[in-house]
Amino acid sequence: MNCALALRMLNAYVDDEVDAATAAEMAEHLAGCPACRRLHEQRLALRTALRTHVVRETAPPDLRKSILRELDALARPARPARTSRWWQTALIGASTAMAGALGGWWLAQPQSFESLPQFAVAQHVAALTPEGPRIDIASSDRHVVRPWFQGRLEFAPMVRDLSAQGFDLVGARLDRLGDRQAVAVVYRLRRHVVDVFSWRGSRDHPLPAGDAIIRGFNVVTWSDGDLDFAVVTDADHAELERFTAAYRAR
Amino acid sequence: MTHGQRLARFEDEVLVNLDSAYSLARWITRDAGRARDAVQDACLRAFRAFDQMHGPNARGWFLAIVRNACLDQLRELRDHAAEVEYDDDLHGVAAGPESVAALTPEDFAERSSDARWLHACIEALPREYREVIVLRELEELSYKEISAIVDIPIGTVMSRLARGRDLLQQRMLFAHRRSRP
Repeated sequence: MNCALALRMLNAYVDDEVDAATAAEMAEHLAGCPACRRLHEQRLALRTALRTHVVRETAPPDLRKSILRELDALARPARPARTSRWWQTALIGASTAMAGALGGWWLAQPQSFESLPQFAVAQHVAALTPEGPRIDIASSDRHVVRPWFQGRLEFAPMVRDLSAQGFDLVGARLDRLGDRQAVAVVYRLRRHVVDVFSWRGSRDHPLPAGDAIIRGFNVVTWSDGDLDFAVVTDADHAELERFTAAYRAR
Repeated sequence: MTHGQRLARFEDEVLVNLDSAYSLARWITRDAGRARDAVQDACLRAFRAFDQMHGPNARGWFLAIVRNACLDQLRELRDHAAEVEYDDDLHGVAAGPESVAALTPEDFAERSSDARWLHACIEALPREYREVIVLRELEELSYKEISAIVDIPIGTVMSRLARGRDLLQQRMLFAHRRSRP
């Protein structure tokens, strides 16, 4: 075997992908040729370095869970479109309240502030359709989205252009959280939908600022003047924080 | 088969390879969030196509789907920022292995134990070389398996591995020399 052929076979030889006869010829050539032997040693050193020092990434622990949740949802029939929305809303609102261990108690009580983020998650889920999130006014232009609510809502929703941060404005919809009228401004980050719910809060009992995981979704809440906010998304927590910081920046 | 049975089989045969899938996605997309999205997307595609999967190599089958999901992610990204398309002829004509002969085994050993630096060297490789090197060296797959996943002939697997390793060694040598006063 000559050097040209040896060089051509070197990688396959290192990878154990040559037949026995070729392997024997290679070994013989390497024994007698210091230049090729050196290249062979470098290849082996590179392999040792890669296999010893490069840490193989493992999947984040919650990834499997969120995949199984998504696959599990495939078995359920697709949600019918908007015609049946009001009873779904009622049903999901009710079941969320139950799940929140509030039982039937909440029906007889003034609205509990703690349950509003749960309503927000329920509404976030209810608005997800196979065609994308449900939208009343679809536009990536905030000067189109915001005026649409005039006369439809008792307050003006905060709509910001966050495309520079990677969050594309999709649109907005009128929504309800329990007995409150709310608006959801909808953004998209890659495959993730980010819903920003806002509603008129109470100055005496502002929504506590905080973040939580509710039914597998990341939620951040805060209060600003007489408006309360809840952001719901399936994007990870770091992305949500980045979003919230950008949305709240003045 | 009920949905539950199908899901259980999918977990046993496909989701056992989740770490391999995530690692590959991470190397191809070079971003944790995008890797996550790609793997999640790939799982949905794999689950829908699960009935059409034949043969014992569920891992290779799954990794091929993961790779495609990654490329879709990158394509989406490219809509915003133009990235140079890869061309085997154009990018494959870099210097041969002779040019790395100046790297002594001692130099090499000294630098190569720096894991972060090594990681950065691999990340800096063009994607076409990066993926075959990761599949070969970290997943320890055969040429035949890599050929099926990346959808290229075995001869191309061999030449990309050769070129990718040359580039990697060159980068390591270059960075090494530059780090000297």
